[in-house]
Amino acid sequence: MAKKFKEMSLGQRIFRIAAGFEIAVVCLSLLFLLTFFGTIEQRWFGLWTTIHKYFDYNSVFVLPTRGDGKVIFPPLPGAYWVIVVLSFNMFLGGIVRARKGWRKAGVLVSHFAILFMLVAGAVSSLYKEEGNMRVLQGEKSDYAQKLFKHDIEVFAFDEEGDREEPAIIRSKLIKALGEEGGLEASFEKFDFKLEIDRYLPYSELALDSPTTQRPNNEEVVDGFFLVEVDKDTKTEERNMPGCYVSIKNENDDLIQRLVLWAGNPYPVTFNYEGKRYGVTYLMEIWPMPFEVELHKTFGENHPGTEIPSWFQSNIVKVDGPDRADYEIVMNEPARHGGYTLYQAGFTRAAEGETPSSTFAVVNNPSDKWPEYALWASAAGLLFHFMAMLVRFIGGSSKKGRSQAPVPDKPSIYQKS
Amino acid sequence: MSQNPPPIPAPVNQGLKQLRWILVIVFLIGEFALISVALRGAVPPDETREVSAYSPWSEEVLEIAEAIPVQEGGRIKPLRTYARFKMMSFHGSLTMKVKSGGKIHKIGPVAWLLDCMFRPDLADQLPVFLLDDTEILKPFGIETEDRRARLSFQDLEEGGDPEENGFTQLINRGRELLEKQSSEGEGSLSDEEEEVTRFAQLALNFTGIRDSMDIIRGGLPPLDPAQLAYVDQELYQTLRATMDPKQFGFWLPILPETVQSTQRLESPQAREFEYELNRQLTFARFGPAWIPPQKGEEEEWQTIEAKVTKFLKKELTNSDEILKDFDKLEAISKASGSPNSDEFLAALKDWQTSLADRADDRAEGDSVASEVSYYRRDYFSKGLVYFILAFLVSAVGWIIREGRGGKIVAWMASIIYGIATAYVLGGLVHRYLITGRPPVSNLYDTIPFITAGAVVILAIAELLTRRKVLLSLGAALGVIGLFFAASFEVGDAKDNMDPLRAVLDSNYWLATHVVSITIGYCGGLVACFLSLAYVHLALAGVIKDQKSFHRFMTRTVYGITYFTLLFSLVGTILGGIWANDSWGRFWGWDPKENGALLIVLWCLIILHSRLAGWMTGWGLHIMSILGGSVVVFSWWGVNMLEVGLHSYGFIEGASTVYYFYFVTLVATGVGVAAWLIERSSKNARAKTD
Amino acid sequence: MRIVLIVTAAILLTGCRKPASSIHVTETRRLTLHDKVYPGDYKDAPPIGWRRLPGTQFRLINYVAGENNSVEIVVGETQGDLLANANRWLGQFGLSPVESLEFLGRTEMLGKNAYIVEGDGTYSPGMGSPPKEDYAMTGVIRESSFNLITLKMIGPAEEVKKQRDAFFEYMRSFEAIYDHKIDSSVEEAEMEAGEERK
Repeated sequence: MAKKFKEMSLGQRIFRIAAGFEIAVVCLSLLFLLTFFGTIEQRWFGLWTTIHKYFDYNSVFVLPTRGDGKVIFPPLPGAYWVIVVLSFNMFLGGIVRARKGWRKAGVLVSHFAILFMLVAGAVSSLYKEEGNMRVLQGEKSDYAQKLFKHDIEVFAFDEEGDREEPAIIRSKLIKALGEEGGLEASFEKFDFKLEIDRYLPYSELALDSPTTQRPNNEEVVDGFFLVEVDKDTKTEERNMPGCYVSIKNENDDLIQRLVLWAGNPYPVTFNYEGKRYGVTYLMEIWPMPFEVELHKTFGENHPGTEIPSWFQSNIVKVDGPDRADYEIVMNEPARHGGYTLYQAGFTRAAEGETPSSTFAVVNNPSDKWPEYALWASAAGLLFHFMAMLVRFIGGSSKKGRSQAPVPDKPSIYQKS
Repeated sequence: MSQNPPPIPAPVNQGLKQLRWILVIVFLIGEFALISVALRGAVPPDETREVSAYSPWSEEVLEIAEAIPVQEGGRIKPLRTYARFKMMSFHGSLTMKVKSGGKIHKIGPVAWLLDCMFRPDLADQLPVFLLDDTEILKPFGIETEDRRARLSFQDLEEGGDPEENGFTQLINRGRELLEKQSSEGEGSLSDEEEEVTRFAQLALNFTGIRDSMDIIRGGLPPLDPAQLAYVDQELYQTLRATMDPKQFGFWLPILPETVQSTQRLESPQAREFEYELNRQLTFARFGPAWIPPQKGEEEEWQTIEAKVTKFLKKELTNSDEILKDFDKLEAISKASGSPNSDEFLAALKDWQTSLADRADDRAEGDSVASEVSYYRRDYFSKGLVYFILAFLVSAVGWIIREGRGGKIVAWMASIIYGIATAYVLGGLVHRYLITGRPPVSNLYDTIPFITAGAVVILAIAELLTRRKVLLSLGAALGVIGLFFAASFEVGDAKDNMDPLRAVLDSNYWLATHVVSITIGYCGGLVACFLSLAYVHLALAGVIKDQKSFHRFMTRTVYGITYFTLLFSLVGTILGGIWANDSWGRFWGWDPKENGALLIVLWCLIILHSRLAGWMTGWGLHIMSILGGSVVVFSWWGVNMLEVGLHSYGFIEGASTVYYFYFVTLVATGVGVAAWLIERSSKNARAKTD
Repeated sequence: MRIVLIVTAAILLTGCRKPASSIHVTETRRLTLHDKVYPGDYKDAPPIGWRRLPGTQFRLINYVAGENNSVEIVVGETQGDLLANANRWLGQFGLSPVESLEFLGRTEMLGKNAYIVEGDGTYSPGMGSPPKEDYAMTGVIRESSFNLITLKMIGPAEEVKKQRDAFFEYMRSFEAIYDHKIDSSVEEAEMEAGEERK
């Protein structure tokens, strides 16, 4: 007979709770509710916003709301953390505490496999890098850019007028600022300082003129000013952040005031002590250890329709002296050296224009793990199901019904 | 002290047992009545229109016509399929009933299409348009008796006033509204305005189909050949010897020269001629694309209009072929005056053979004959009928259980069930053979597939356990599923065998991921209906006096929940692997992905609660019933959100989904009430012991 | 129970982090082809005193120079007739139009013939801006196969005079960039095509 709860020591009690079914059912139920609300809210707020609200590791509590802002359910804990708790519970209860033996082997394997998949997910969220690489036909590229992460880069121009290696202020630091917040950056490479203020996550750069109205009397720098706009919930890529910066010397004298906007493709410049410097606000540059040459990109529609039936890019991946040919088609990415290239989009060119192809580049150490976990968990569940089926048939058919009573509570916990 | 052995229950009165089952039947009849009343609004009126001088097409004609190959939606299909979905989109049904000369005729899709193409005057009289709310036509002077009615094109024309008939008014308004929508954006039209626009488009489509054959019918006004300056008079006379200048085909070889000539003429005849020529050519665009490409030329089959345009641009290698095609079609048209005559049959056969041969040369259209037989066999409708029969017979078997009678009834039920299942499976296999991909590629496909899965699962369960109620449940699910398949198909009015978008066109993942998820849906729904059956049986008292039955139902639902978990989990993970391969991320919290996860979580909650000892019999069944709603949400509800990567399965007709949610909620309520009553009576008994 | 409260508090507190207010930046990256991206695939070399501003729809490249950043140098793209555009510029200074291109100075920009348009006086840019007195402009317009490339400097007459040499040196500084093209045989073909384009 199992020990009664009252008779357990504190340690045993903690273990009993942490590994118990109670937490499992509570966590699963919470996850169910979170997934449900995290699905219907997408209808009003779009995929990206809702995912961040419910499933990001940053969100500790969630309040399900309707499109008009009305709250439709009491607050729930954030899904990421529920999964963390569930993982612990699964490990302790489903593997450590569970009864061993060949009868329970299927369940054990399944729990282990699912845990492995969740770990893969955690690894992915921490270590996965992804970005987009756009190449024009006949050209090559050796970098990708990470969507939704905008860095500020500061660099010097050399004597030939070429850019030197930039100093990078990461988007994480900038995003943490609000409109009132300020960040002062000093550089290893440079003598000057850069101060960021008036950071706006959704903004537009506007030209000032005698007839332009400035909604909030925004500061005008070099004839430009930054104005706040509404967030585009449907197409996250259209949201451009912006900020104002001051370049100062060590004595805090102002060298130059600049306005930065992520929608500008080229840097702005300033001069300091006889040298020219550039500042740019752009989607994070992710250098690749290889070059991708786009030799040809093409696609076809289903006859008589605008629906693409397939599209393909013929590339050559150049890794130092090695050259490798790949044909990347929808659904068939190119995997090589830890990087996977997917055909994310392509533009057919109008007359006189060059077609281009956009690749999604992903570097995910846990790329194949879910696949392994799948086979393991399927095998485990199938095995367990078969065992159950056999027992069920033996016990339920009118012909073969045994006289022994069926126990109500299975003895998975009973340590006799 | 020795323990007393448990008391042996007294044998229950046989008559009482039967009474309880009759009670179940009473419940079911009541529910059926309720559903019929609720759905009555959805069933269109069944009137028979009086049409003068309608003579039906003969079977032979229909057999030839239906097998004519046509290109549409990206593939070659038989005319029967083409006609079928066209008729569905207009008429909301596949049969039209008319009365003529005291006899009632049933007109099917091919007959209707033939009427449109070859007997346009009759086609105008046929009640082709189904309208839910004819109030919207009042502003155009079109009146009907009932609010929900079927109208003919003539009805539209007869409305309105002498200057501008109802049809013209409708079209003009539709055009106005479309302009309004394009300038003011989506959502700028009210519901009624959208209906008017939709119907105007439909009416226009009808005239398109009807007039698409004008180019074959002739009716060009006369023109003095001497006035045609650029036309070779000798050539004209040669043509005149064998062909009729009222026909478009006559002018085809000399069309460019003719148009050049008429452009220089000032006479009203020339203008009339040009106008009619243009009109005929324009309308020919709306006919079927049944002219095959020529060797070494285009890839796609063309409408007559497209072919003529190519001919005029001198883009065809073989100009004779189009002239021959005109000949053949004109022969059919000429003979259509006497529709079932030998001439007509021969002309039609000639045309069909010509197309089929050319299709063969291109190695296309090899599934046309198969597709014709698929629709002729009408697998799902027949399956529906047999399932209804199987259910009724098995219901009799609830009352007559023992002895010879009982055995006969049981055997009959099983055999009929087997036939019904064979029909459903046959239909699925046939679809697979025609399309070459697993029959779960779009929403429509999933319905018969899930139905088949459910009836097979329950059949196997019945074989293993010998519980007759499972057969009845299987038959009931077969009826519900196939009925739903038929109504969805009509509402959708789309050919679901057409090829897919790029990302779905990958057979390995389709076969595994979608099939697995669909089987999971199947399991969830079977469990739900099993529990719904349990509620009925418990309320009727059947469960009370058969303890083993109660245990059986509970364990079966538990087992099927496990089954659902297995397939849903594997399917969900497979979906993730497919997404990782296509888009670079394994899980994106996309609505369809979330839907599958919800089912997995629900099953896990049930199983873990049961393992913890919290889930009593009633608890399990209540959860299982609600689980049915979770499955329906995942299957249909997420598509109604119109968000995310999986939103290529939009549906209208959300009301059916909401009805289902409602039903499960009601059943849950009943279940909770029953559980509470049971618990309190147990407590009461415990007190008195 | 206490444990639960403490743990919850810890989680909540760690969530409320104030953003860093001062940092020392050491992060860098190697150079990539992104650092060789130029408008129209032409690298330009402005003089040290010029400062680049954000571009706009009409200003592909946008510099300011001189005292108080009063001089603007803009590279733009436009359509239409070369002479008409030149006369429009002259019109902005209240100067009379020229009858033909022969009256304009000739030079070469981006490998093709270009015309110099110069003037001074009161500059009326229009579009609500007040006229500016004692202004000057130095501009170059060049034709390509489907549009016109313009390089224009406008500012106070004094400043424009000071920048004139630098302006023409800048004009001559454009250099085609091929780093991102695929290979040398393709490079040469592009070079010809590039000259054609520009």
